[in-house]
Amino acid sequence: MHATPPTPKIGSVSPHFAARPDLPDAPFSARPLTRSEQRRGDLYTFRSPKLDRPVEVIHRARLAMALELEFDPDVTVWVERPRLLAVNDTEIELCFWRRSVSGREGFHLFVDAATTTQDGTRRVRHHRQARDIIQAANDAGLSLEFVFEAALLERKSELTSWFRLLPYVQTAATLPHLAALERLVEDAFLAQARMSFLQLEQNLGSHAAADVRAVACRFIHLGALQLDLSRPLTRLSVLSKEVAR
Amino acid sequence: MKKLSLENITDADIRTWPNPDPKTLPEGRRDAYVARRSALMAVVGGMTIRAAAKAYCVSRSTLSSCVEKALLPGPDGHPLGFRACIPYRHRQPKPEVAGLVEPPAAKGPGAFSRLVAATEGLAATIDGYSGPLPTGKRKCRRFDRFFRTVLNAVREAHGKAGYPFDVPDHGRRALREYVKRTRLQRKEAARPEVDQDAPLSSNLRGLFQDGPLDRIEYDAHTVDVELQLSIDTPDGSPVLRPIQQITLLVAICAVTRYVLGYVLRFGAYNQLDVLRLFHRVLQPWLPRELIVPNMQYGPGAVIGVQALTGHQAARGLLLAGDNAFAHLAHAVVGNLRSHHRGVLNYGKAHIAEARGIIEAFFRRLEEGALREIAGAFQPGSMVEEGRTKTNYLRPEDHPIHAEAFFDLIDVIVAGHNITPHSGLQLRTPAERLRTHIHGGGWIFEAADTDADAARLTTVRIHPTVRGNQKTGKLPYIEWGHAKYRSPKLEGAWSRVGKRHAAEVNLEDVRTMVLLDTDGSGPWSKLHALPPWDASPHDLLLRKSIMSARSRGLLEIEGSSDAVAAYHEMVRTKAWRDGAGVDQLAQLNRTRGSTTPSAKTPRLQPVAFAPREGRFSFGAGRKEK
Repeated sequence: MHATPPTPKIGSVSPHFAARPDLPDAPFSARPLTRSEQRRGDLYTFRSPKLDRPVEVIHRARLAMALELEFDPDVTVWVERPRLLAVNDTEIELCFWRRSVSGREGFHLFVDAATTTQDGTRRVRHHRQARDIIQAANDAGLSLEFVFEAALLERKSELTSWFRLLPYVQTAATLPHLAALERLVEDAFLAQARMSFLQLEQNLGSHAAADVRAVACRFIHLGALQLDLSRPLTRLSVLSKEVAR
Repeated sequence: MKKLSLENITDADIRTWPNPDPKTLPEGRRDAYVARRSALMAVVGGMTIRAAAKAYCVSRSTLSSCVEKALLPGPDGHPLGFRACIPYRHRQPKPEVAGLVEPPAAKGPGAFSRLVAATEGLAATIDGYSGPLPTGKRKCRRFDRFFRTVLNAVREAHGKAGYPFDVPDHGRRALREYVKRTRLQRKEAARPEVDQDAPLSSNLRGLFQDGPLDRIEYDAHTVDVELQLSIDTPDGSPVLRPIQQITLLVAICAVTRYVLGYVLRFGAYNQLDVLRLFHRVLQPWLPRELIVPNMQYGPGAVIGVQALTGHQAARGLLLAGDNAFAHLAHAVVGNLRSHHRGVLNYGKAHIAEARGIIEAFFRRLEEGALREIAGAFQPGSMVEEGRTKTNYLRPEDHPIHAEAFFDLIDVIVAGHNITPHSGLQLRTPAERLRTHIHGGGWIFEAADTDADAARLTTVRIHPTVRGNQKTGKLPYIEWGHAKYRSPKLEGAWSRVGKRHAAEVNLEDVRTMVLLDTDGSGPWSKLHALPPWDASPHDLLLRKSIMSARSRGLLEIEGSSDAVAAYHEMVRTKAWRDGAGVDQLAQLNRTRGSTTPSAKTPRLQPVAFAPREGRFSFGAGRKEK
């Protein structure tokens, strides 16, 4: 028999609900999806640890782009569906806007294989309307970057790793003893610069392994720890504290 | 035949042309469309009209008109492209008539269109009409008024002679047809002829590598079994009533086909059942104490991940469901996103390819296990086919025993996890998942699963505290058709008239926790006033009780327990009218099947005596 659902611990309120600092200021706000878009499209939604708000995107490729922005430590803030761009009597919706640590801002547009043509001699992919869109973006003073389907597929293993790390990063933000655990993990990496997840968990054996792993994932998300992304993620994957950049 | 220049058409880039899917067309026109499209492609590729028409069995004149139309702009501004090949859809525009159009002298083809073109301002008048069109069934005064306006305009412009005054209805039908036609054209112009969001290409399906527990599919399935419920009537004799629907909600891992949890209920499922499903997924599974003597679990039968991970709680990374309203409800999306975490995915319903594993599981369950139950049937693939019984047992001879049925489903689902599966090289789902977990594979675990599971069914609300210090009406909160009070709130006059954050567990809405003014911690636990304080009930049960009350089926004023009153009403309706049998079966499960005569008196005292309002201490529930 299934256990009868216990009455929730109503007395305790998780820090998830506690007061939080305001969102980093972004010049755009995401266009909310309409009810029909939510119901008709291939909808993906998750809580973004970086933005501290729920994100909704249509299409798997945009989920991949969102995860890339989410896990790029160089990106400080990003917004999905920031604005429309008028191109030759029609309007196309730009997929993402992002701002880097350096202050550089830019837009991303997903280009699926059906809207690209390939140059026969140089094997370079182009958007069918590339010239018009670039012209329109220049006219509007926007820095626009095309993200091609083929390029996303090349980064498959990286994307899978981000996808698998995401729930841990989300969990880390809800931990009541996050600050203490963060200090412990930092100390552990001061003593030994390269450790696998398993080693780290054994080092901090007095804490729940899942919590320790969540904090390690949070450090990867913040860019404080590095992970070899070319290999599939396992509990034996090696984390390193290297000053690469 | 007119000479046709093929230079433009051979320069065209047909990859940019709209290319409607033949399946979207009426069945009778598909073949013609496909033939014309192939012929048009051949012409673009350099074939002559004559040769292409012969090769694809298309009329030569039809093909040349398709060729001409393909380059013309469609209603959306883009070239018509292959839309030109759809039979009867797009016409070639008539050549523009130079100069002033003469009003038609007599009736004839196209007379009304010429009349509109010849009368100044008439086109704008007709375009401005947004009222209903007469269908011949009832009078349509708005259209009559509009028709008189049009006739007046025609009379002023051209006098009372000629069309439309030479036809008996003075052009009323022609006007109706004209408006209908222009409306259709406008609608078609606004509609995207080509599906805007392109289907997910097969490449992108593999954008993320799928490992065990990476993708959890969940869905509800109506079990193909007709069951009879035996209900005791007041005189003690049982009657049989058919159960309309039994719903099975399952969450399954898409790679290992391991079932993580399920919810079985009578009747249609709702958003709370979806939350209950994931509540169960996060909680360890315990085998039921089976009541049927010769029924037993298979060796090692198991449901849920906890059993495989040594009672650590692993979870799925991506929950994929269809776009049913119950799945997309605010409470479900918000709570799963915050407390189950990971990514949620919602796709179109009824596409087996999108969530193939769960569909295959339901099929396997039906065909492998449920077809032998009394009342089981095979649904027809066409509506008119109807159901085919799959065994000779009559459901009337075998009325359902709810506990035994739940035992059976538990045994079957647990058995699935230890049955070799051809999709896993004949390994069992449990084995496959166990190998992954014990081999150090990556899984998502969280330490405080119990808290997350509990929070799944809790929502935050912001009700206003009511009350009046002058009249002495003590502070209370009204939410979900019930009033809530606590001793601490009764003295808190400063809170009256303000909104405060509160948390409610949807599974049991008898209590509510009011939070501090800054929303950080609990402040006071409120209890619902009678008749909502006695039996545990979820929010949706309360809503159905209130809807029964507003339809006059139920009287809860003065009753001490609204849920008991509702249960009794449902029971009466079920044995008398055969309606609401599913509700009765479900209520029997959650409340226990007490007969009205054998009702036990309530033990716990009433927490709060009502101080005002619609309650009475009278004779209790009114007899029907």
